[in-house]
Amino acid sequence: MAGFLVRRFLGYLVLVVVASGLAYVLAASALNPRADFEGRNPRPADSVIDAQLNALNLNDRTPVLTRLETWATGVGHGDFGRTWEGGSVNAELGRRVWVSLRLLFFGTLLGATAGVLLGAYAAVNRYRASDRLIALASFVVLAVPVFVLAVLLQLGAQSTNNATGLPLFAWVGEYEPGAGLGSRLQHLVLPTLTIAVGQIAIYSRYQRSMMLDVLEADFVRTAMAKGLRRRDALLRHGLRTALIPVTTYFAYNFGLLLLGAAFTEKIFGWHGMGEWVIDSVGRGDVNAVAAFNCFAALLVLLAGLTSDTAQALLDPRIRR
Amino acid sequence: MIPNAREHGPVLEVRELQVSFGGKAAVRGVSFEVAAGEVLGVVGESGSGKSATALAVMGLLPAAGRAGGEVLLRGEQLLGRPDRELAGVRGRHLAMIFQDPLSALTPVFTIGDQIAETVRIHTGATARAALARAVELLDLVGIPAARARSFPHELSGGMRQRAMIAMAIANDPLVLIADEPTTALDVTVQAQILEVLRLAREATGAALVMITHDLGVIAGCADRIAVMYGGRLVEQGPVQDVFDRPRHPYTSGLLRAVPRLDSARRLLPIEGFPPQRPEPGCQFAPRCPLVSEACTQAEPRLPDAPHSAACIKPTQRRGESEHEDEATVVMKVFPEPRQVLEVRGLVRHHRVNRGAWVRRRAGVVRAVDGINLDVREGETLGLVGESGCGKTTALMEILSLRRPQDGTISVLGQDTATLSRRDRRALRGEVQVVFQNPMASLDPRMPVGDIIAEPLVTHGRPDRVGELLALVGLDPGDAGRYPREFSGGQRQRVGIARALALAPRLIVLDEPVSALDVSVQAGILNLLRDLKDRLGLAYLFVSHDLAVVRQLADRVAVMYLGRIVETGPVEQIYSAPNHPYTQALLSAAPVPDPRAERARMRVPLPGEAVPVAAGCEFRPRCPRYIAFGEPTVCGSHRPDPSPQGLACHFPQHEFAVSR
Amino acid sequence: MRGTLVLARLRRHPAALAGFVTLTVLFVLAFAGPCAARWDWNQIDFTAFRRPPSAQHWFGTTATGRDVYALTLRGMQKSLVIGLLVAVLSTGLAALVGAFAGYLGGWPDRLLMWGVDLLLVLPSFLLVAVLSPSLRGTSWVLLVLLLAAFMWMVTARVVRGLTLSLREQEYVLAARFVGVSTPRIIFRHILPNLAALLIIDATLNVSLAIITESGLSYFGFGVQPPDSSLGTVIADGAGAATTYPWLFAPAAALLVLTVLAVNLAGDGLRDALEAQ
Repeated sequence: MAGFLVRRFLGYLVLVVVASGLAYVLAASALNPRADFEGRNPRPADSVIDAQLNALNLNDRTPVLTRLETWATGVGHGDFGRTWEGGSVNAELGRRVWVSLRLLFFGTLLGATAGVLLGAYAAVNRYRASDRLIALASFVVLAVPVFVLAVLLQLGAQSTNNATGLPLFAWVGEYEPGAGLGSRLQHLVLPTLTIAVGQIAIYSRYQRSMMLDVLEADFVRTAMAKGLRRRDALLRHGLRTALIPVTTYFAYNFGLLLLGAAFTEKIFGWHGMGEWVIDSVGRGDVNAVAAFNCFAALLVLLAGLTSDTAQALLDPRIRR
Repeated sequence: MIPNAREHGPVLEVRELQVSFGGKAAVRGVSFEVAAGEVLGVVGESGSGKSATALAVMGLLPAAGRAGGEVLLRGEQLLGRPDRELAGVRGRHLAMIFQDPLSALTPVFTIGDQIAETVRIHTGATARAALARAVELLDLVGIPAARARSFPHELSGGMRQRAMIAMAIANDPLVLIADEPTTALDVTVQAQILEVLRLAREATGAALVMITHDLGVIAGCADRIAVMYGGRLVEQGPVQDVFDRPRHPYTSGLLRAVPRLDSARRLLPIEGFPPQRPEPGCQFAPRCPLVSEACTQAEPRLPDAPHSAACIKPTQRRGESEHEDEATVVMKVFPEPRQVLEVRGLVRHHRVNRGAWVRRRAGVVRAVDGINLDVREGETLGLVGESGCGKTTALMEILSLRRPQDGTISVLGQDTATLSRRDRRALRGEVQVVFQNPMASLDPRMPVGDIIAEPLVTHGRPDRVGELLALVGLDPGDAGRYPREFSGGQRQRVGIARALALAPRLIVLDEPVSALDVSVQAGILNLLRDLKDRLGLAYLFVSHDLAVVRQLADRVAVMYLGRIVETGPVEQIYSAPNHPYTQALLSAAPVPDPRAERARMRVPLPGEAVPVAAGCEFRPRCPRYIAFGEPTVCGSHRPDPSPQGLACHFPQHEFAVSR
Repeated sequence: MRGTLVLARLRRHPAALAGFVTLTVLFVLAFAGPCAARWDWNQIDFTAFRRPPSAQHWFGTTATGRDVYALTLRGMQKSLVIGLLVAVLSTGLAALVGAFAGYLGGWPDRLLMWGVDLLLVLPSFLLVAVLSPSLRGTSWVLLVLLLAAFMWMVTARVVRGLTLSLREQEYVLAARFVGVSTPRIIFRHILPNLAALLIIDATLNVSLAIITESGLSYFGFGVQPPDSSLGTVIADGAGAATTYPWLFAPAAALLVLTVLAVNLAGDGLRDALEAQ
């Protein structure tokens, strides 16, 4: 099994390296930081702008492959370059990564677990009222884009706060300055929910259809023929087997999750990677965008590895 | 559970069982009983309701299924009990063996755990004790203890079915229900599994309900048989009686339609196909040669008697005798028959690669390992072998008309290795194929007319779809209908029409009847035989079923693990086989005749086909090699085929002398 | 005959039926609705800034005095058209790449699937966002192409997987042994047999495309002013959603309704087509 995972890891690593490079080339050729320097008042001399851009490795007059080489060499040494303002990308990265990971971790954990359980429950109660209710709810949730959902949750939280007269929910930033862990948790609730609700809807639909496939599976019938009650046969033999394809889905779904998290950070004023990249694209900050690309690609790699590991643990057929 | 158990009489009684799926009746009033230690064979074709009966008895019908009537286990009604109570009976008093052991075993648990679970559910044994019992049970069915930690996918089909049997007998059940337990298996493994089933029955004293479509299997193991048709029992009685004096026209028709190892007489198919939904009157009436007006008025009931048939004028004659004069084995002699296909030393090895980036050779599967085949004009060569022997790979190599890895393939004297693109395309018209599965061999999105026209259009030939449909016995007016509107047998006829479209010289038949019911099979075999005579076709007929091959073949080649072990005229192979594998195959194939079946001398073959590093591939299973008990040339050298096409160091005649 | 069968199954599926009906109504509203309004989407009413809904302005007005009803419907037209085009293009591309990769196997397959994996690893939304400023001033059709270019990969993988099994189907082998050419086999035997999956997938891609487009536009990376889509309208109104709900609510509601209707319709189609 270790050999299998190592092989997969190497495969992913090549993908991540190529993808990061490609994304850098696209960002470096499409974004235009020069315009921003030129727009300053007073307009600096061209030679000054060139010098500044060169210092940041952002000069669009340098061939893009040369810039790529400079950037890649830096990344190879663990240096992601300078931001558009001249600050260290690494420092910014160090601050923001944990903010994003916290949000992603709790959102994914809650979303995937609750989604799988809800989906399995719906499948076992197929065509009953509870199944239809879950289906309807997930369809509605899936139809609500993150940026609308966030606003709606904020509206709901505000009216709850107003109705109870207590500051139960908070949604601006990550914490109140000077407040303790409680405040952090309080601020965590709404953004995490924003991410998790969509994930729950997706996973519940997916798990339901996987579970429906095993409901009438021969081996579930065998388990019942051995003397297990239907519910036990489904839980012991069905759910375990129906989880296997969901792990693959986890990897595919992860890109979408990252996107939702970026929106969420931006809307809730969390200073995470997502907020950073959305602002950076607007400013033409190539190095920050490239750093985010690496971060995203690496996370997708981790998601892929997690899914492979989970699959290898769940399914003896692919262990070798 | 089951407190007032009666000591004598039937353990399982089914009375007036009804099963329907979404309002469509599948079983309509079936009654039978079995006593302890007795074997009841339930025979029926697909759609007869035999599997639905088994599932209803077990209380395992799918969600859409509804059952009515009575299922009495030692006099206690099971039908309609809540799942909680039934769970206490299933796996303890009533156990089931399913057809496909791969899908019937949970893929993510070891077989040891799955068997132990059965023990624990009903006895509350500790995990350790249950696992010990599981190992004991595995030993009983012939699986080594170390295999308890194997997952289902790591075992062969035969091993899985053994594990399934171990699971079924774990709690010494009163009744075992086996639904087509050997259908997915090779004939030599089938013989082993039937033996394991007999052992299991002896060990537990359970009653066995054996459900199958295979009359040969029933003939060998059942005490009594019940014949199902259209959701009802049409005949039941002691096995010998029913085979000797079938009373229902369907039973006697079935016996005349089934191909037999011991004769090549022309089969008599039952016309038409089974009813899709219940019709008024006797269900068999539309296909019955003896039908009268009274038959369509009321559905006849099965009288309560030791041997009875649900027919208003049950026949008393022997099913067999009156047709024996119809033997039509005509050995045609052609002046200088032309060679249509010549295969010499054909090799197809598959590399097994490992590694994500640097691909290393991890091994070689010798799917086809140097075979010779000859098919002459107007001749049928039967290629016989069990699954995995490489016969399908060989076919695909021939059909691709490309240069093989090694060896040569010549079609009509043209070496496929030297063909230009255009010549190869032209030659495709001369070699066509009929596939096994009539469901998968026709594109479901195309009307059959378009399917048959595709070869004609591709090669720019004139349209003759109507003519082709008529040739295979279908209505030319049906060209606009889609495959799903046809029955299995009709679809296979469409497949044959497509193969005939380009007027080929050679048709490759890949298990053309193995997916069909016996009553339909006979019609297709007869059609193939007639077409050969009329059009002077040559067939390369591939099958695992020796009885079917006998119907069509002039010569037979027997394949084992990528090699041809014996070749010869059909009469010689069937009456005086030389290679021990051929002998074992013939002896393992069941004959639909209880007396003959039980009197036969068997050459049981141990194990399953597994390649060996050196020497004769068949050696690990070879009764002769085992009898020698000492190293011989078999262990060091692969036998090369003799000029007569026999690949054995100790062929039958020499072996007999040396002993 | 098959068509009627599918229709009959759909009819038994009330949610799907509701989806289709809603979708039709929304289309009619988006394209015929503006005719009924008194204000055009680019007109400015200098007498009404940020007014709540009234007889004059059904959905109220924006801070710059534009009619929210007209703006919203204008945005919806764009969103619907973009959604449909992206879905058709990306599903079509997925079908071609997936079917050829699966059928040909060998190195073409490995190459194409490596490309698919690469695109899956790339944060596609970000790339669209990065590239979209260079589209400014060009047609929104380029945005459609860009969106489609990053949306086909998962479907392509699914199509490839199914093609792998179809390729070994006997009817495909029969066609090959008759001498039918590879493209003809793919277009006549493989793709028609994947039609159900492709239709369903195209439907679900419509909703994904609409959501993605509106998300991009929400952050200013998608449809560029003066054009508007539901995303831009929602973005303009979201900041003040609590105080001026009419700026936000109609566009958000229509967006949710559209996506919901498409998803329900797609789900119903799946049931009707896959039961075959």
